[in-house]
Amino acid sequence: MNFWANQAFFGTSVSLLIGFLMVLYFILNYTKIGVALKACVCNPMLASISGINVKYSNILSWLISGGLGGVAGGLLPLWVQGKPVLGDSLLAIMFCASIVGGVEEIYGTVLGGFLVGFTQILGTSALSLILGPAVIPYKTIVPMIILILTLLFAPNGIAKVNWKKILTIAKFGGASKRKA
Amino acid sequence: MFIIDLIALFAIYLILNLSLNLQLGYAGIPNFGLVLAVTGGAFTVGWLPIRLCTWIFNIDSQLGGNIVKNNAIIVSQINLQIQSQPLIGLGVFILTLIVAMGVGGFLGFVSSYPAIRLRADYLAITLLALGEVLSIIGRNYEPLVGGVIGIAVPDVWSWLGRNRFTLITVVLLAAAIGTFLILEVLARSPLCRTFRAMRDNEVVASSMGKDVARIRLEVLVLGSMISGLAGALYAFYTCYVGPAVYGRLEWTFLPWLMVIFGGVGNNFGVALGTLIFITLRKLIVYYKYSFAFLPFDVVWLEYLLLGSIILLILIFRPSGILKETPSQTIPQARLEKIVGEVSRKESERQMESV
Repeated sequence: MNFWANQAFFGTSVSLLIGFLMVLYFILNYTKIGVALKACVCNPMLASISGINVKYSNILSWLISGGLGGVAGGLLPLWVQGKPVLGDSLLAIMFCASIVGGVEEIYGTVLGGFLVGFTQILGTSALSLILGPAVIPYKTIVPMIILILTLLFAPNGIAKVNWKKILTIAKFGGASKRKA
Repeated sequence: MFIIDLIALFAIYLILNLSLNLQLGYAGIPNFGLVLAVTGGAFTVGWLPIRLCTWIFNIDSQLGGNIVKNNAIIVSQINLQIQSQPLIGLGVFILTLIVAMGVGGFLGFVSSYPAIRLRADYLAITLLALGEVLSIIGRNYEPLVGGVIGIAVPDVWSWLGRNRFTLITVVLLAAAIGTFLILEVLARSPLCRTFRAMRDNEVVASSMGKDVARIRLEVLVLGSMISGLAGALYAFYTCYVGPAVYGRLEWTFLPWLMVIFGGVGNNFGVALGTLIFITLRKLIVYYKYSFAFLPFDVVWLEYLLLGSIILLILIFRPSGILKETPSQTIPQARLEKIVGEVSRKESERQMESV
């Protein structure tokens, strides 16, 4: 694949990602449908009392997620070799990315995806420089380690971590804690 | 031979499905990582018996230096030795099973510990993601089970000669029935009522003083031990361990299918569902060439049937073939006797007061 083809593919996928992200963020936060979908997740019974059709909301969310999965699946064979077990091999990594990012905010998944992807590739290459090339086959285990660390220390994902609190503690050495 | 293989597979899957039923049906933990404990048990069988037998029978140290490379020679020598000393074979078998159960329990503990305090769907995703870790390690780290090629396991039943498969099937069936009885007794115990209370409403259970996270961990460890046992028995049955055998489809999704088909939370239903499914799969594989009239490759028939069956079950009978019933703690006859006595005394007292 020549240089410009790489660039074109990268541009297409990233612009699609940004476009879908903006549309989804707008829909989920500023329209009635999005608020209804969120309400169904939080408390289905309360949502149905206030007049939301929970069944259709579920079907709608499945429809949207299935369509987005189809877009991703259409882009994937342009970049990696397509094979019948492709989805199965990506299953664990996708779950890792969504949990690491946090499932409550739509941009959390992007953060988690970038973190998991970069750690998997860069972290494995850094480890292979230190420990030798024997670690390269184990690169699928790296996301699992990130997943376990996230669940132990920030179970709601990194999008929900209270960075302000951590920064103040780091700056004042826990002084803010005593003041409060 | 067809029937024997069918019964053996049924017994192995029954053990696994009962373990899944304990976790999913009674305790409400969606364990999508069954394959981890199964692989743990099987890898124990691939790693331990060959080293143990090499040490016991004093196999040539030159061969023993590289067990994976000289695998075939060592295993054939061990099999010859076991033919003359059946007791050692049995001892190795039982010891390996105990170790495999320990390994399975440990893996269940490790894989569920990070997410045990979170919501059940987080736990399910974590278990699903961690499921294939062990088989990745097995594929790349050769000394464990010989890398991609796999490793042959010493046949601890080689002293049976021609009757090997018949007798091993009997043993497997006995193990399955034993597991069934233990879990059925467990299902009628106060412990299982705690599990059900936790499944139905966590908040209420914890307000009654039950430590929900701890109970979940205990259930997962117990279930993983049983899954490890199933994996070890399968490895001993086929006499071969390879990472490719232990995929997510066969050892996580098929048991889920069977348990949902048979009836979640009902051990008899699980046994029935397992029997039907294993028979169906086996028949499709056995009579493959009779299906030549189909417009597609017969290989896909199995997957198509399984998928359509699960959809039909979920649409028309979501609780499975046999529904979950209230578990009886004492036999029906004794219960009726007690009820009769109580009502008789009640009527006598009424007569006296009149």
